[in-house]
Amino acid sequence: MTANAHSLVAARALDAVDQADAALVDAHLEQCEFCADELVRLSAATEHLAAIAAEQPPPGLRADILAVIGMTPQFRPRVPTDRAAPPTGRPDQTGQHDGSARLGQAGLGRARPTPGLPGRGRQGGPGGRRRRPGARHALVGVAAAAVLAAGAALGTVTINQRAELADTRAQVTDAQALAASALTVADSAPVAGGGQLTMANAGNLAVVSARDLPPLDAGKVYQLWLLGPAGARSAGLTAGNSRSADWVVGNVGDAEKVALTVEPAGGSAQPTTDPVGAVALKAHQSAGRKQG
Amino acid sequence: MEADQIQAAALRALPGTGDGVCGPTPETLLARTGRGDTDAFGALYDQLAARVYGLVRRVVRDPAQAEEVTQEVFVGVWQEAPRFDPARGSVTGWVSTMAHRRAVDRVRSVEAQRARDVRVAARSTARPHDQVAEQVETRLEHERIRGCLGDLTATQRESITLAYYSGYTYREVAELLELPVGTVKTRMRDGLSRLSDCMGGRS
Repeated sequence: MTANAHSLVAARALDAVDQADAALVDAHLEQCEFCADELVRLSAATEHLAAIAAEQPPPGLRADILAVIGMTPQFRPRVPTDRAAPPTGRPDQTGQHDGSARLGQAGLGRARPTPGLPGRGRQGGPGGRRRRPGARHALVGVAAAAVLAAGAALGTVTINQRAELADTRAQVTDAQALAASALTVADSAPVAGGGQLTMANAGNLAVVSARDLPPLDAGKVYQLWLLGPAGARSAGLTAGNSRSADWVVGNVGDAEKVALTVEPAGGSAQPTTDPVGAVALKAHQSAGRKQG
Repeated sequence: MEADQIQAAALRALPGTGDGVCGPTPETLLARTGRGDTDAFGALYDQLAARVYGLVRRVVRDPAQAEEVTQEVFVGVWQEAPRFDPARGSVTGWVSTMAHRRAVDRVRSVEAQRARDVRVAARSTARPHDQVAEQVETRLEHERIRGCLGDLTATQRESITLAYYSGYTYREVAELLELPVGTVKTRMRDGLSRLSDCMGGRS
């Protein structure tokens, strides 16, 4: 298994791995200093590939993004006691979806507190004063902020029922609370064989959290699906022995429920087994529109 | 923050700093962004937007989706800025990685909706270079990178570009190129190594 993970470092640098392989490599990087250095070196090469793809974005995007960040709180800086930093200074695995794992933006962050977290008061700032963004972009931004906030909270708090999600929401502050109000708690359902599946959704976005999943046989993974009139769409994988997982699903569309199935390693294009758990998505009524 | 703003204004006032070479570095701008400075964030956007949008669009292809993903990336940069540790790598590298991962996530979740015919998809991934907008000042650098890419073997280059620009996993690349999975993994490694050496380890 180690040799296998070792051979995947370049593929990891190219993001050419599925979630199960990514987890395998990332676990290996914790143990193998050589591989971690190799990943940094090969990742630097991918930056050249990024550079030559450069293309000017549409001009309106800047104002839209500035307006959204005017309404989006920043995460608090990590202080050394926040979470256990990897002792060797190797990247940890917390940022699997945002690239922070590769560059190890974790644990050892600056200990300086952030003065004046931007909240509603910032809306009059440079971002807010520019021409208003299209309503679509603003709402997407608010919903995205809500989901990111909830996703961050779900990552650190065990959530398997509504009450706990409510607690999590109570922890977010100020503008975050505003954004979190856009989340509709859908429901929670048991997973066959043990564990719990919980979901909150807002607009086109959903946060799904699985806890206490029973370990699967080797070669099997859990796969999350969006089920709708058009059938099933994959929404993510987690390793068969991962016990817990959180997914932020960004393209809910007309899906009616999320379901978890057991699939062969690497996942399937369509579910091949009956769901071990499913939760219905709650219809949303533009809950995010309430910010004044 | 006030001092930073004065400093930023002074830097802007200097001649020749508008080209992004002598102006504030992404590191400086991200540090200010981490303290809630929206002007610094705007300047950081100006420096990195073409790189992020271009890369995302190259992967997801659809301009509307590329815009959405670009927005996600920059909102993520804003949120994560207070946690960024400059000792762990460059800001440009961090943002590029975030952009690429999110673009790949998007294209995989979209493509999972239908049975993928990777062979058909592969034919549509080749994109003429003239569609890629280039700043004049970066053109020579880009030509150098392309030169280095051209020095790779065809299999190395295809393995890398199919993975990086089309979001394919190494298994899918192996299927496309009709090569054993182990060969593809090796070609990816050798190709990236050669690219790195050819560019002198610069990033």
